[in-house]
Amino acid sequence: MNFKTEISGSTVVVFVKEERLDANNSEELKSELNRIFESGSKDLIVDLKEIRFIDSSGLGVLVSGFKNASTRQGTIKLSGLQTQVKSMFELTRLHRVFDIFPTVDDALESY
Amino acid sequence: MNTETAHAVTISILYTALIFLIAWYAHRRKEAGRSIVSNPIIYSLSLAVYCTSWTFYGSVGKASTTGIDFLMIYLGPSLAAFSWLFLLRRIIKISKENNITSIADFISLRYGKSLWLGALVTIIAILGIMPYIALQIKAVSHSFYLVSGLQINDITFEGLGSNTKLPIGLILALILSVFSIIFGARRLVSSERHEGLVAAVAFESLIKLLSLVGVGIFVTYGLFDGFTDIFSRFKAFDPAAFDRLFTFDASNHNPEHVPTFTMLFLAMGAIMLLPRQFHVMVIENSDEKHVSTAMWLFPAYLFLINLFVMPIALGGILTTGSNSGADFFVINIPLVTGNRSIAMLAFLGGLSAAAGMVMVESVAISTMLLNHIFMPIIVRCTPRTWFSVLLINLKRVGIFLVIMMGYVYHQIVGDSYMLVNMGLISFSAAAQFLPAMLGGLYWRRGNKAGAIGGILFGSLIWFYTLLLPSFSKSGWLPADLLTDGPFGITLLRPTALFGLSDMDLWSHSLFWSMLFNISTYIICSILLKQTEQEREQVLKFIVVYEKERTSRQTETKRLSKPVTTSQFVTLMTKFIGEAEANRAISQYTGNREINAEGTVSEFDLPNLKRHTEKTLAGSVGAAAAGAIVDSFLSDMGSRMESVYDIYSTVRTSLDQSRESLFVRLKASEIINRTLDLQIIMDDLLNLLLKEFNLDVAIIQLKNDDGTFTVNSYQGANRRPINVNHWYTESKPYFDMVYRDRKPHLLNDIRLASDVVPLELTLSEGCISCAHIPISREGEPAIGILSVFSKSIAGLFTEEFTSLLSSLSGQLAQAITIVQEMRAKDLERDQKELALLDNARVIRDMEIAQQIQLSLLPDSAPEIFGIDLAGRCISAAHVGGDYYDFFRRNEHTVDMLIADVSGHSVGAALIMAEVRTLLRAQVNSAHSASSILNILNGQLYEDLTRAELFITMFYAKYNSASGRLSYSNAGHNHPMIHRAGEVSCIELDTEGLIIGVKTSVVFEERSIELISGDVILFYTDGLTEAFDIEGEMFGNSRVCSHLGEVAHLTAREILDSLYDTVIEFTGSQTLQDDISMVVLKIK
Repeated sequence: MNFKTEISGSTVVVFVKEERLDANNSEELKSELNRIFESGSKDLIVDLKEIRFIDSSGLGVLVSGFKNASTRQGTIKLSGLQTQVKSMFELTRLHRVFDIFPTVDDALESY
Repeated sequence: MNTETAHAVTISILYTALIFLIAWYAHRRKEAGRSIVSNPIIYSLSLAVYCTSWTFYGSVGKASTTGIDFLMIYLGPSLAAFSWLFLLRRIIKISKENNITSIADFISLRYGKSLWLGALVTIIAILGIMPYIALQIKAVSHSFYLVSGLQINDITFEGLGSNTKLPIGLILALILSVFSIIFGARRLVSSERHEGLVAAVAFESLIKLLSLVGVGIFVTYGLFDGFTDIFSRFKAFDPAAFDRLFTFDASNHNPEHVPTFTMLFLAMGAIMLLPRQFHVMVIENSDEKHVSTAMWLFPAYLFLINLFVMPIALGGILTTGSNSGADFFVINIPLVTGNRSIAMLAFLGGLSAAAGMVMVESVAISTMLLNHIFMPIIVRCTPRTWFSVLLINLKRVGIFLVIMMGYVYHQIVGDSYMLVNMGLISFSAAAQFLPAMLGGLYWRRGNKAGAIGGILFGSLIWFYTLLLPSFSKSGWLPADLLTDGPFGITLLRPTALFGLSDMDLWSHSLFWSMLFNISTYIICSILLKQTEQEREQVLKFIVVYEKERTSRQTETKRLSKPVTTSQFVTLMTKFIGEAEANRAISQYTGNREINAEGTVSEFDLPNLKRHTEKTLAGSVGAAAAGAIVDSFLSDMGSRMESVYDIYSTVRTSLDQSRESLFVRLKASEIINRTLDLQIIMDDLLNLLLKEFNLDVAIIQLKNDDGTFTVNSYQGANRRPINVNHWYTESKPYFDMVYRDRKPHLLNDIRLASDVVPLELTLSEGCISCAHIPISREGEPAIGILSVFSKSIAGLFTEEFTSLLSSLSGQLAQAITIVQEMRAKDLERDQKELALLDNARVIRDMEIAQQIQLSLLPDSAPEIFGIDLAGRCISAAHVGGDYYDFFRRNEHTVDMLIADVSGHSVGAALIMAEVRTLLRAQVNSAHSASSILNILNGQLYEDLTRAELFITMFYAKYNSASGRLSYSNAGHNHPMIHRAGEVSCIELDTEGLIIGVKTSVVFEERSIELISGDVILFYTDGLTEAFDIEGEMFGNSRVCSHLGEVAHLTAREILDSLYDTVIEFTGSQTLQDDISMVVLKIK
C-alpha cells in the first residue's frame, strides 16, 4: 500500500495514496496506524482524499484506529472524504464517531 | 697488373667491403635487439640463395644450347612452394622445438638420433655439394678473367720477396672461406641465427637480380629493339635453332640433354633438401609466418630473374655468331659491344650469386661436418675445458675444408661440363634425402634402418652413375670404365646400369637411385622394428601434429643416481662455454622448484637432462648431444632406467595398460552396484589403496556453505577427523584444486614444503600425494580426491594422474546422479506436503463454510399473511454474513440481517456468537432497538479484541397490525417496493455500527405495510457487486428489478435477483457474500 506519513507538530498525518481501501490493503494501514500509536503519538489525521472506495475491512481499520486512539486519550481525525466514502460513513453512522474535515489543513486547525 | 685488372680488383674489393658492412650492421642491430633481418621480404630474398652463378651465367648458357628447358630449374621450386604451407612450416616448427642445426641433424633426429645416419647424410652432402661449389669458383674466376682482360690463370705477387703465383680460383676460394668463417662461425651455437650472414645473402640476392635484369634491359632495349626484335631477328638468323630452343625436349639425341621431368623433379627436391636451402629456410627462419609471404615472393623473384634469360641468350648468339661460350654471354655481350660498365655490373651480379651460395653452403656443411663427423669422435674423449675453443675452430676449419674441396673438384673436372650440369649432380645427391625426409614427416613406420639403407643405396647409385662418370669424363679415371663397365662387365656400366641404356645420364641415375632408395626405405621400415628411442622421436615429428597433443611428454625414465644442476652446468660449459651454459640453466630453472643445494627433484631430472641435451644439440647436433650426456651420466655412475621397473602396478606406456583397464572396470562395478554414496566412496578408495599401494585416500565433498567435509577416509593414520588432523595442512592445495579444476601433484612432498608447510604430513611418513578434483567435464568441482603414498616418491606420473582423474570423473557422475535423485525426492515430498496442507486448509474452510451455512435458517417461519424467504450465497471463503428469523407468536416474526466486517474465520466466529446471543433472548420480549443495544453491550469487548464491527438491521413484523418496527446499526437500508410506486422506500434509523462505542442510542421506528409490499433486506455484497468495467450494481438497479419481479413469490424474487447480479458481474464467482431476505405482504 502506498501512503505517506508526515509529522506536523504533535500531530501525525497519514496520507493514503490509494484509490481503494479494502481487504487487500487495509492490513498495511493498520500496521502503520499501530506503529504511529506505539511511537507515542496520540493525535492522528488520516487523509482519504484519494480513496474512491472503502469496504468494511477499510472501515474496520479506521474503527480500530479510533478505539486505539480513545484508549490513549488521543484522537483520530479524517479528511478529504469522497462521496462514496462519505456515504459509507453516513450509512454506518461513523461520521458521528469521527471528526471529519474537508482538508488536512482544516483538520490541523481544529487542534 | 693492367688498368682493367686493377679496376676489376678495386671494384671487387669495394663491393666486398660493402657486403661486409651490411653484414656487420645487421649483426649490430641484432645485438641491440632490433633485427632488420626478421621480416618476410628479407626472408624471401635469402631464399634466393638458390639462384647461384649457375642461374646467373648458366641459365643463359643452357637457354642458348637447349632452349627454354632451363626454366624447369625454376618452375620446380615455384611448384614446390605450394607445399610450404604445411611441409615447410612443420619442418620449421620441429626444428625450432628441437634446436635443429642442419638437414643431417633433422634426419638423424627423426630416426632415433642416429649417429650413423647423421654422418651418412653429411658425407653425401659434402660429396654432393663439391661440384656445386666448384661451379661457383669456376664461374667467378672465369668471369674475372673476362672483365679484367687477363689471359693467364695466376696473379703474380711481386712484393712478397720471391715471385709467388697464386691461381685466381684459389684466391677466390680463400677470400670466400674467410668471409664465411667471419659470418658463419663467430659462435658455436649453430642453431642460432646468423643475421649478418642472412643480411649479406639477401643483399647479394638483390644485387644479382638488379644486375641480371640490368644486363637484360641493356641487351633487349640497348642493343636490340625489344623482345620482338630479338626473337624475329633470331628467327631470320637461324629458323631451325629457333624452333628447337622454343620447344621442350626437342633435342633427345644429345646425351647431355636433361629431360624436362627429370629436371623438374630434381629442382623440386633441391629447393628444400640442399643443405644451404635448408639452412636459410629453416635454421635462419625467424618467424614461421614469413613462409606465407615467401610462398609468392620467392616464385616472383624467380620469374623476374629469368625474364631476360632468353633475350640475352638469343642476343648473345646474334652478337657473337654462335652459342659457344654461351655460359658467359651475360658478361661477354657488354664486353664485345664495348660497354665495360655493364660488364662490370654483370660481374658483380655473378660474384654476388657465387659468394652468397658458397658462404651459406659452407657454413651449413661445416656445421654438419662438425656435429656429425667430428663430434661423435670427440664425445668419446673425456670433456675438457678447452673443448669449446676446439669446437669453434674445428668448425672454422670445416668451412675452409668444404670450400677447398670445391676448389679441388673444380681443378679436376674443370671445363668438361657445362655449369648447369655440374649443378645437377648436386641436385641429384640432395634428392637422395627426399624419401627419408618426407617419410619421416608423414609415415610413422619409417625407421632408422630404412632411412640409412635408402640413403646409402641411393647415394651409392648416385656416386656410381653420376659422380664417377664426371671424373671419368675429365680424364681422371680411365674412359673405358664408361664404355665397357668395370672389369669389362657391360651390365654394370655406370651410364647404362643393368642394361638400361636408352636413358640420358640424369634420368638414368635418378631412376636407379630413387628405385633403390625408396624401395630400401619402405622394405626395411616395414620389415624391421623401431627402437624405443625412435618411437619417441616419431611422437615429436608426427604424432604431435596428428593428435594435436599439447600435454608434455610422458615421463617413462628416471635417473638411477641423482645429478645436480651444477654438474650439468659443468658439462655444458665444456662444450659451449660458461656464459652460454649459465644462460641455458637459468632459462631452465626460471620456473621450477630447486632447493638450496641446487638439486632438482628426482622427477625433474629427466627434464633437466633433456634440456641439457637440447641446449647442447643447438651447438653439436642432437645425436652428438645425446651421446655426450649419456656418456657423462655413465661416468657419474648414473643411468636412465625405466620408471616401469619401480612399481609394477601402473605401466606408463601411452596405451592403456591392462592394470589401468582392470581398475577402471572395478571402479565401474563399484559405482554401478549401489546408489549408496558412502559405500561407493569407501569401496573406491579401498580399491585405489589396494591396487596402487597407496597409504591414505580421502574424499572430501563441498558443502553448500563452501566448506569441505571428509566423506570417506580410508587407509592408515585413522584418527578423529577434525581441524587438527594432518590432512588439513593441505588445505591450500584443496582450494587450488577446487578453483582450477586441475589435479595437483606433489611427487616429492619434501621439496614442496617451502611453499606450503606439510610437516605433519611428512611426519606421518607421506612422501608424495595427489589431489584430484571430483568434477564432471566442464562443470565446477564438487569435491576433491586426495591420495597419499608413504613409500614411493614420484608415483604420480601423467598416466597415473589421468587414470585418477578419470575415476574422479566417474565418481562425480555417480555423486551428481545420487544428489539429483535425492533433490528430486525431496522436492516431490515437499510438493506433496504442500498440496496436502493446502488440501487440508481448503477442506477445513469448506467444512467451516458448510457449518456457517447451516447456521442460517433452512426456511422461514410460516406466518399468516406474509411470504418470507432468505438466501445466502457465499463467495469463495467463509464470511460474516448472517440473517435470521425468530417467530415470536403466530402474528409476530423478528427478522434481522447482519454483516460482520472482513472475510476472516474471525468474522465467521463472531457471526456464530451473534447468533447464539440472539437466540438466547428469543423468549424475552424486547424491541428491535433494545436488542441492538444489548448486543452492542455484549459484543463490544469481543469486537474490539477482534478489531471487527458489525452492521445489523433488526425488524419486527406484526401481521395483525401490519406494522414493521425496526432499528438499524449502520446496515444497508432495506428497500420497500410498493405497488404503483417507481422508487423504493428505504428504511433507516439513527444509531451506530455495533462494536465502536460502548453505549449507543439506537432509534426505533415503524412503518405500516400494505398488501403487495415487497421488502428486501440485503448485505453490501449485492449492491457493491462489480461488473467487468468496475461499475457497481447499485441501489437503483436493485430497486427497479424489485419492481419487475414483485409479482413473484419471495423465494422466486430472491432467485431472480441473484441471477441478475450474476449476469451483471459476468462471473460465476462472487467477490463478496450476498445475503438477502425478502418479506412479501400478501
